[in-house]
Amino acid sequence: VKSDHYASLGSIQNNKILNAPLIYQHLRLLEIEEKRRPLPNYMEKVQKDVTIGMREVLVDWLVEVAEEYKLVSDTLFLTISYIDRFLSSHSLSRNKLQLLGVSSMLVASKFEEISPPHVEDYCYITDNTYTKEEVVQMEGDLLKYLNSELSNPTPKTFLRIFIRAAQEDSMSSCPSFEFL
Amino acid sequence: MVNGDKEVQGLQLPYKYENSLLLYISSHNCEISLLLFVAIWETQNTQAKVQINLRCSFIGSFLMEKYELIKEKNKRGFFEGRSLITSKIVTLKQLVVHPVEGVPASLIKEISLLHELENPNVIRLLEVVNSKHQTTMVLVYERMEMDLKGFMCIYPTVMTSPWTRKVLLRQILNAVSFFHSYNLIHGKIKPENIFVDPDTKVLKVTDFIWPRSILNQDSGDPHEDSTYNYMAPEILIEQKQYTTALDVWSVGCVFAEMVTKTPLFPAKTEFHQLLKIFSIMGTPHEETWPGIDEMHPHSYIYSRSEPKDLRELVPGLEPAGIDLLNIEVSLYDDHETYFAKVFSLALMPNVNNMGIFL
Repeated sequence: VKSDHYASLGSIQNNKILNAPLIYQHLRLLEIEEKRRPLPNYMEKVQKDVTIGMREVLVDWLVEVAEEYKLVSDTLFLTISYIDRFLSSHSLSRNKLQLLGVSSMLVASKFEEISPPHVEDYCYITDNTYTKEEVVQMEGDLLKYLNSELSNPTPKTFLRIFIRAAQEDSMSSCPSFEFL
Repeated sequence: MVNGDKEVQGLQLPYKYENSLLLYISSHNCEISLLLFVAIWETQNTQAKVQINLRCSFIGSFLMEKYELIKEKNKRGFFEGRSLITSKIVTLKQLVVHPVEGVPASLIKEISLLHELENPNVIRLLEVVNSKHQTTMVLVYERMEMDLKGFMCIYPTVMTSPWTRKVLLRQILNAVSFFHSYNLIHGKIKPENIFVDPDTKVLKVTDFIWPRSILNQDSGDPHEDSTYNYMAPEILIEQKQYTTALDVWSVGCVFAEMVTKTPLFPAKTEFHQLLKIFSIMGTPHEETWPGIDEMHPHSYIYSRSEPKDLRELVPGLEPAGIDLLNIEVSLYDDHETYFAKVFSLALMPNVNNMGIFL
């Protein structure tokens, strides 16, 4: 987990504490908004070709990609939420699933990262299974479907808040929390 | 006329707008990928009617189904348009999507954030229209009348009224504090990014970017001379960590300009900008700005100058305004006191419901 994401917020932290209840409330409202949530049963209802196992493999692979390109964990969480939202309405064939994965990660990294990897990097990591044009095309489709509403809170967002609240009293930070 | 593989869309424009559109096309043809335009002049009796056929890569099916262009707003790619469905006036901004890299990262951030930010003094993004082949995107904003720069030029007498200045300043501060309450820094507050309705004096802040893209400029914005004039010294000395104070600095610069009509710190380059700031606010040293020697080890190259009196530089501003300005453009201030002071001064209890602070 990179710490400079936090460093960039730096001294805004103090201000944040004052607004904390308001920010939390706002995040909760965003989280429960229907349009930002995937269907709970999209695998059975929407998908014909893709299975739970394939999604599992995809997510595992994306974790490795995120490590390879040193992406912050927020990017990874966002990627997976975009994938789930897209799959909730589009029936995808299994050979396009990885394309959705990299395009989602492309969008998420553009949203979250300071210097996001290039499209070329994402093509390379798929062993050039897809062309740059395909990745960009999928990115466009994804953005259109998501209506550019990309800033949905992820489990990571809430974990961060809860951990900070839990550590409020202790002077030194607990190392096991640092890895979250 | 035009022959080619792409469809041709005819667009009828009222005569008075013809010049501005042609001007726009000639100055921006590469940028917005207008490929070709043909103007046909038809003279009917005394009234000249102009028909311009635009053939462009984006005004194919999408945009023209929903919006018609009326005129160019300014040189930065803003158009005024009308929705064909609701016949409301909107502002259109066209952006090119990179064929290899896709949608620029800065744009993704801007769009997704603008979707959420809802404030009377922040521009509303109504919708994003994609072209079929993902080559361009058109952002549809609510109507914007004119930017503050233009407003100050066209209505110089209106701006001399302290009432107007207070109403406008308060709205800018409202927008800025709204950004800050979302933990966001605007980072690019300047008169060109502030739009004003001349009749109602409603003000809207636009061109929202994330602070990180100040350092990592991938948005491909053409270099604008005036950008530096509103930049806080901590950006100019390339300090690594920014606070929301940098927006307060920019607001101070805009505030002073509203009074004097000229930038408070006019300069053309980064170096001259710092020089100008230090010559007015005094060259910082360890006592006035703790940590400056470490952050900017070469500060000795600037000649030592003492702070000047802002009352002389910004004549016509009442004492309370001078106090406010002094805080806004102070070189160093602890972040929290910054906020507390500026907002308590600007949003003092003696603010009436017209939004005027006294």
